[in-house]
Amino acid sequence: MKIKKIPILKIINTAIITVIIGLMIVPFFIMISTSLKSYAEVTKWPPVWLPDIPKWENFSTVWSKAGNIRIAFVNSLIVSLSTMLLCTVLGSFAAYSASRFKFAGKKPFLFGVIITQMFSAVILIGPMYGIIRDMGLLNTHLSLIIPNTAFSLPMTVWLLYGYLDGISPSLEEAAMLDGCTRLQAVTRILMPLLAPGIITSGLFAFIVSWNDLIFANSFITRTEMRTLSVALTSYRSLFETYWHNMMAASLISVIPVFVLFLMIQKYLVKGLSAGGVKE
Amino acid sequence: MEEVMFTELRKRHATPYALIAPVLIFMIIVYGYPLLLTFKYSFQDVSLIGSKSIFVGLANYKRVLTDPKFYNTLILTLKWTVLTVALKIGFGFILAMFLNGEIYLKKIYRFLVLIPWAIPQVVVSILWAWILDGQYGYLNYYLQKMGLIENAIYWLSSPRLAFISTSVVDAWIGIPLVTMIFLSGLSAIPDSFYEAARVDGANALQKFVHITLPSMKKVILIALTLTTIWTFNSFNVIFVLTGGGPMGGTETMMIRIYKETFGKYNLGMSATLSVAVFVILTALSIFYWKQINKDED
Repeated sequence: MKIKKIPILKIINTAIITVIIGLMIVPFFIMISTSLKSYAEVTKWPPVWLPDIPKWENFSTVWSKAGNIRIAFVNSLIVSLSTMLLCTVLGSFAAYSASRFKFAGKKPFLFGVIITQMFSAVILIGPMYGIIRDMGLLNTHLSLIIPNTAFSLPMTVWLLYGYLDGISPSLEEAAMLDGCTRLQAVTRILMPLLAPGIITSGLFAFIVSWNDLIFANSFITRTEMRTLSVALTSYRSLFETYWHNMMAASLISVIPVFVLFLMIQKYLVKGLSAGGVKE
Repeated sequence: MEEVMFTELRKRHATPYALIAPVLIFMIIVYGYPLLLTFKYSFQDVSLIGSKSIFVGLANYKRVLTDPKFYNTLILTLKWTVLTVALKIGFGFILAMFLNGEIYLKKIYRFLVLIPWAIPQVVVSILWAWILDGQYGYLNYYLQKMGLIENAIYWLSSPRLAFISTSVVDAWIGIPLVTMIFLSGLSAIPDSFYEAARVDGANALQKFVHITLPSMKKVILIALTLTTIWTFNSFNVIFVLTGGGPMGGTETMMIRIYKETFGKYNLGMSATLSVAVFVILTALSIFYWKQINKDED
């Protein structure tokens, strides 16, 4: 009796969740289908789900002609890769220190790092603009790399700190007893074990930086220095009704982060929710 | 030998600080110093461009606190936050319950639910601007087809509708993370709790009220805290979808501060508003923090 009853409930539950999640991800399909439409199809009423002939040339149009997407793409890539590199290097140093050493001020440091997550960039952007300007950095990649790094560092430090706490220090100690220096123990024994953590936190920093709008919108005024986020928003006001081009440009900007996200989502969710629940 | 140990000891004392120093420096440049400047500017008449900066005492605060527009913005922000947080927490909880329960294709659904979160907020906002478009948007078409509305609705053109639309879009982005937080909380409840309740003859509702909710109390409070702070600070969705309009219908504190800074270049005023936000968020955090700790006693 019981065996027969359970699958029915399971089927109903699956049906309900299919509808909910289906509705949640429908906008994503709208983006893909719109990006392949022609202008005539975009302005057709009622809207059609799939274009008659997929217009792949929309992608090459936005890439090389209207809107400077290619230049913006390269700018975003430079900023995000630099942020990723800085975050992983500096974050690993700090996380290693917090996980393997006892020192005065450790708890305030870790707490202070996480508390910064409370501040939106908006309430600091005015003074930051002054600082960036006085350093002569407006309209440079560095003006975005510095704040993006700082905004990703808290998560990097906490993610890596969590990973390091899961790796027993006895492994490094054993290596040091065998005659390794601390640096050798770290590079030869610890680093390979920590690699997934480093990759996860690095890609997280990349994604955060790739998605930044507020710094890029505030510190960059020259068209050739714009990042993708800014290019996309100004695209909107420039070509108000060319939704097919805008969706194609949007899709180009989504693909890199989406691929990275697929690679790390399992670890990221684990790290984020563990951090959220622990604190 | 003694000397060697002494240098080793000294080294050990300096090493941890040397390792955290770079992070500290970044934090000071990007958070600490600007935060100090914000407090300083809130007592000054200072412009974003030019070098004018005059000490004005509490004049900015007086202006903010006696300005009806400030309270309008504040109430609008609180309403928007409450609505959006309710959507995120409500849907997040329901989804987590399903994803933790008996369903087929669990792994696939756990992955699919993350998609709205994996797309950059700017792109999501542009995408929704298209879906909500009054002339050619999909939403109007399907609502009309289902007979729910008669005429096309311009979702972002009236203050009230824009308020709701931006809130729903912000919730759409925020739900995945809330779901994941709840999911990790739900999966941490031991099966033996439910087993014991089943033996005692509890039904599904009783199990939910007496086991699931009490076990989840702390996780719910943490999710509420984080979601409230994130939502209060939301900027991208509103900025791209409406820019605070129409007629100030979506002008939350964050949009107002940004406009004050880069639209009017009035750094003194935006700093004062920032301090107000800072006070509100701190008060909120302390309130939640106390609730979380009260639960532990």
